[in-house]
Amino acid sequence: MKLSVENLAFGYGRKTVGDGVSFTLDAGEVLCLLGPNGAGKTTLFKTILGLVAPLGGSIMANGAAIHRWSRQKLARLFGYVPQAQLGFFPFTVRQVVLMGRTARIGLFRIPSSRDVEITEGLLQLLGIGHLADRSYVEVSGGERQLALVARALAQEPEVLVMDEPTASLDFGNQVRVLAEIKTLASRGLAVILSTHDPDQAFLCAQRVAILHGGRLAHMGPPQKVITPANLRAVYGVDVEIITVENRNGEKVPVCMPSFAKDHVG
Amino acid sequence: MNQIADRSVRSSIGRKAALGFGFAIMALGALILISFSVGRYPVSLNELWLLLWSKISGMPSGLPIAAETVVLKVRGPRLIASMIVGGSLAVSGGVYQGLFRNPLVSPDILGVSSGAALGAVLGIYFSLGVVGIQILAFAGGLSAVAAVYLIGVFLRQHDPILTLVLAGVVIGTLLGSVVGLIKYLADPYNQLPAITFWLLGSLTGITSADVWVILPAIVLGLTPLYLLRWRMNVMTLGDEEARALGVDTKQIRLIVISAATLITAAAVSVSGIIGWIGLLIPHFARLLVGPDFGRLLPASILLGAGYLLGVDTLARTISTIEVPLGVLTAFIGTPFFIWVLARSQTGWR
Repeated sequence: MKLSVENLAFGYGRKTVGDGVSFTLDAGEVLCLLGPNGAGKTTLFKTILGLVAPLGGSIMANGAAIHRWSRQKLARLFGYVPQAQLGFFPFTVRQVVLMGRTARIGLFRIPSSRDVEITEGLLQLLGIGHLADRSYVEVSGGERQLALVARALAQEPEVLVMDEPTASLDFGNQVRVLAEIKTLASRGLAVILSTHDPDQAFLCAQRVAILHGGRLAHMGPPQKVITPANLRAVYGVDVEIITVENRNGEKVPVCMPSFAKDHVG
Repeated sequence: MNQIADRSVRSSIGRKAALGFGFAIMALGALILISFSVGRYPVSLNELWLLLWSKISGMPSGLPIAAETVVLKVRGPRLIASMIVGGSLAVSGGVYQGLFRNPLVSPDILGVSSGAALGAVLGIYFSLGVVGIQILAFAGGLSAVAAVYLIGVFLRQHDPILTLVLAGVVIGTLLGSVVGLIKYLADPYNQLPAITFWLLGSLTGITSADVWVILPAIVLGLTPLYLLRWRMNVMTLGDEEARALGVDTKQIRLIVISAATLITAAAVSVSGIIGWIGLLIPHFARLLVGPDFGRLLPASILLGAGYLLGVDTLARTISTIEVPLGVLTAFIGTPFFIWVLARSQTGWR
């Protein structure tokens, strides 16, 4: 599996949000997209997914242009974790995850027992098996987010596109989702995710890209891209990068912001 | 251990739905019996049984011919028509509420009722017969929704759902004012009462021929809705998420809108405008069996059928003159709707 995005311009109608975006993503690779609020990360993702028409450039999967693919074919290529929103009707968590199977269910058919089995496995995998029969609108925001991850995995995709998958999760669930992303990638899934936390890129990504001013300002390995100078330029804050050793003896860089002097005293 | 717990929880959901269906079927059965027996010519349950048995066995029932006429020729078709119309309006209301992700949506959201009203009113104005009026009502309902859908296609740069709803409101208002114009021009002694009567909804004088005319259209509409029940579930996530999950939303929306419009137009063409059923009944169906369309569709049909049957029985028995159905459904519907509003905490559950 190789996804390549070339010179992509994206936006809504006549309003261009970003252009000149090029990158490739291989099976087993995790690409983390950083960028300030309003940089267009969600729009870029929706354009890659074919939910928003591209304004220019091309997206190829294994060398084939995907812009004419059917929704069904696209849903088998891309699993999508959108930012969690409240549902309108009280479907159970199990039913919501089961909806991820839709691209593999015939137009006039309902989920098979195999679809239900796969769903059960994913509910267990993400630790939300006990919520399976609860209403999706009643569980917490973090639990909804985990259900959406399970739903995207139920698509059995080759590329997982996750829009701020840790945004509404508590610390424990953030770590669990990041660990799950690493595991999935090691099994051959290509993952592209956006986040507001550069530390997460150090934890799970092979490559980082920063979307700033409508362009991919920087792209490369986390240590090369997440630097005090780059973070200063993009977010306008002062950050030290320190390296700590975790329990497994791995050296992991961590961002440590420093407040401007006059805010401290 | 965990698995056993899991299974028992799942079966408890199934049991809740089974109870819901049991309730709906029993209520409908009881209403059918009551509705057959009450009226200006009361028929006891025993006489009803004798009549039906004689019909099945071919033996004479020994009852006066008047009883047979009332039950088989007058009440029978009317009962069946009320159930078909009620079930149709409820099912298309439930489908539209899912498609438009809005619990305040009713089958007339895209202008099918106002289109049908204009067709029927024109038919009355030009003194056409009953069949002519029904055909015009049916065609009017379909054309109004087609116009709304085309507006939605032309304004495709906007959110498709919002565009359809707004176009529906605008077209509905326009057609409503044309109906007003025709009422103003109509002969106040012959035509105006007939127009008013039609606009308030009624099943008076319905025949078994009417039932046979609308039934194929309704079955034709129900079939794709039931076949697409899983895709409909996914559609309630909204256009973008449904597409991301592999649903061709444009195609499904066109099929579902056509099917629901066909059902509603057919029902309204014989009954006139009956509000509230399509708005209210799906809420009760959802309470009883949950939001999954595989269960919601049959539950809506059963509850809608029972509801309109009950209301129509009231309409022909509470007074010496027939009370218009639209008026009764509104009187019953308003307090129920406020109750639904009160018991929903945040959002629509």
